[in-house]
Amino acid sequence: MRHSNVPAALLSRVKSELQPVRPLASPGRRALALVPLGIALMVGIPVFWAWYAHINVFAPWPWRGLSLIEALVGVLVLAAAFREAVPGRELSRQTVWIVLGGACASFLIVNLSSAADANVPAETVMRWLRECIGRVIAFSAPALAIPIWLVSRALPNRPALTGAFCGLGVGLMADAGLRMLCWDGEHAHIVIAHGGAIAVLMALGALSTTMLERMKR
Amino acid sequence: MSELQHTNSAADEQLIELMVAYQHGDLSAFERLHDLLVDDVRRYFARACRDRRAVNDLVQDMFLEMHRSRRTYQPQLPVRPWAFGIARNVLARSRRTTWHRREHSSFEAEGESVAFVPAIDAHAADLLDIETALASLPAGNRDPWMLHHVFGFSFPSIAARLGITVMAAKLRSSRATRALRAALRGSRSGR
Repeated sequence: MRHSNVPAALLSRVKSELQPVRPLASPGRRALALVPLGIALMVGIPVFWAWYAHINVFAPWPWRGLSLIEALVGVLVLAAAFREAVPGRELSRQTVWIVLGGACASFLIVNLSSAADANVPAETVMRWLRECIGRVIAFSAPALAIPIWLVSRALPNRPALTGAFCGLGVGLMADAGLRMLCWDGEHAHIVIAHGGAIAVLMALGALSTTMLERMKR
Repeated sequence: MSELQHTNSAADEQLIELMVAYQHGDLSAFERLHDLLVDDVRRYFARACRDRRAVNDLVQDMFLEMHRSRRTYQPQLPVRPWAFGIARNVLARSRRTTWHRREHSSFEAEGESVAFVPAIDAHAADLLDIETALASLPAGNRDPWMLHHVFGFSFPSIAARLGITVMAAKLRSSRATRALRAALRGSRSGR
């Protein structure tokens, strides 16, 4: 019989808790499982707020195609977050910058290439800023709980970064829906209101993932 | 060079097989994994920490965390990067605990409601034996045991007080209990 070098306390603890486990699915597959969430955000946000605010004007078809691209980028960012959460599979610094840069670029290209200037009166600018941020947060903050829960099932070594990526992914999905409803194509509005909403979600994701990791131990 | 690569890949293959078996609930696979990884893990922690006892605690914490997180290992991927990813996590957590302890150095002054519960009701001779046995224990194991069994502190508060993890506090106390039991058994049989 082989002599084990495992300390007795550790061995008895492991023995008492040892059960077969199913390995986590790959990051890509887990991100694909969130495609329905992306669709729900992309469709739910414009439909709900159009009904709520009695708006009948929707974005034209080409805009919807671009929204789909933005939502897909969101899924890719979530896949990066799920990979980052697995020990030993952390993203290199270069990849982190590529993901962040790619997400920012797709957000700006999709929004700025299709948005038309709505000539919003000065007194309405602030109200529209608040409305856009509020609409995205109201839908996305609860949705953010799902990827954060998935991330917390792994063991992220950089929980703030992982959570920020979750926020970014969900934020892009939500923005894909919001842009079909928002009339204001002013560049400043897009960057501050839509980009700001994504930034808030990133901060929320970073904070909640960090807190969850601290609470878990 | 190619022979070395071949040896490395064979070792990696073995680790992967063991890890898969461990995920299926094979305890002997865990023991083999422990034996194959423990020296490297100890070296990793020793580079970051000089205290040998703390290194041993970190090693045990790491294997316990590896056990808890075994589902995060994805079969076919190399085991070592995954295991050392967990080691990094454990080390970061330990550093955070130490930092937290320094931040809350006023903890001692604030005090904590301590219920003095004499754990043992025994004759004077037995008490003498216990005192001798306690004195023979290393301070690192004695302190958590005394704080828990004599002064009634909870393990989280002991961990915060000594700047170690909760698991380490439990392990040290358990080691002390075993050592005490062995010492007392020896002294009684000799009487």
